[in-house]
Amino acid sequence: MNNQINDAKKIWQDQPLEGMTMSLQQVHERIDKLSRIVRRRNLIGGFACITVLLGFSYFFAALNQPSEGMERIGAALTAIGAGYIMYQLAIGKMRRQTAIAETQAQASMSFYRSELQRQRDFHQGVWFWSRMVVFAPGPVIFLIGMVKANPAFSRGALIEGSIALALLVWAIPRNLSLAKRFQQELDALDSAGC
Amino acid sequence: MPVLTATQDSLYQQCAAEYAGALERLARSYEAEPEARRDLLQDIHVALWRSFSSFNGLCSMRTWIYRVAHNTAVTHVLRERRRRGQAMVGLEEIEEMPATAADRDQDRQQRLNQLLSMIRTLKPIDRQVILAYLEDLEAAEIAEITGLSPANVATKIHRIKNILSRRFQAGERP
Repeated sequence: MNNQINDAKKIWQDQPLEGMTMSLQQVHERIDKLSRIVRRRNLIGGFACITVLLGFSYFFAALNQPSEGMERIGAALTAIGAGYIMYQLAIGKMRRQTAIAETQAQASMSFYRSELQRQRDFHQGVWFWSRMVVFAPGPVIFLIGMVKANPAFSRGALIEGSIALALLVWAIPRNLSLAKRFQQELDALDSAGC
Repeated sequence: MPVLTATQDSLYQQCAAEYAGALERLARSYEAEPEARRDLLQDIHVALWRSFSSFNGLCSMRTWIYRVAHNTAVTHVLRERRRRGQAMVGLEEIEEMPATAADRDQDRQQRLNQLLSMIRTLKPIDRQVILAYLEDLEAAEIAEITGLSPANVATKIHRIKNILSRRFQAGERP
């Protein structure tokens, strides 16, 4: 038995490798590249949120007829939703950076646990539901208000509303099922006494 | 207390020189696709360099390196699993699978491939234990890296020995 195990270890340790390693300069270049990617991603996300925030703030200010009250409420809620998402993204980014620095050299079991918990909460926790609650009602109220004030827009509004509803119907169960999978893994770790 | 950048650089250089092979083997066991594997390995090197800014000497350098490398790889595995929908199993399930004649009648390269594909199906913690074991780390050090109790590590090593002896028989073919 020992021979077989030693042979497996030898096969493992002697396996042919590409010999890939990184010089300090390559590490710094990689860090710069990753920082540029993250910055670009944040800029795109931030730009999308600002566009929504400014666009619906404009609607809120411009729609001032008595018949447009519902549209104004929808526009205000959507603008607040976009602002809230921006805030969450900024907070999440700061928390994530702190968490990475603090947990990188943790014992693997607790790191794995915290990763599973983080993934679970992303799919079903406060962060997920706050996005849904804050962002979803605004556009719906805005669309209903628009149809009430301008019946000619009802067809377009119905299509947009249906698309948004279909996305919600798909996204909620999908996220909850992913969260359930992460929770099952956490439960398995508990029951294995890890 | 955080270390100076010069120390961080020299710790990284020492680690890259000494553990390049082990880190590459680790990356192979977490990612089969060559391009993604190179990316993962680069992420591991970057994570190690970053981590040395807070290296405090409370554990050995080797324990630190294995922890950071595995933790980076685990994040990669969880992200990729969501994308690819891969299922993972525990050592217990693999131990219960019967070894076939084909398992035993293999040359060296086939045995390595089989070992790699088996490791890649394992759950992260089991994968980490078997990798550390194959790298010849002592049980006490595996417990320190993983945070598992020594008894738990001993049980897992016992299973690993069973699996290896049944599936990767030595010397039958060179």
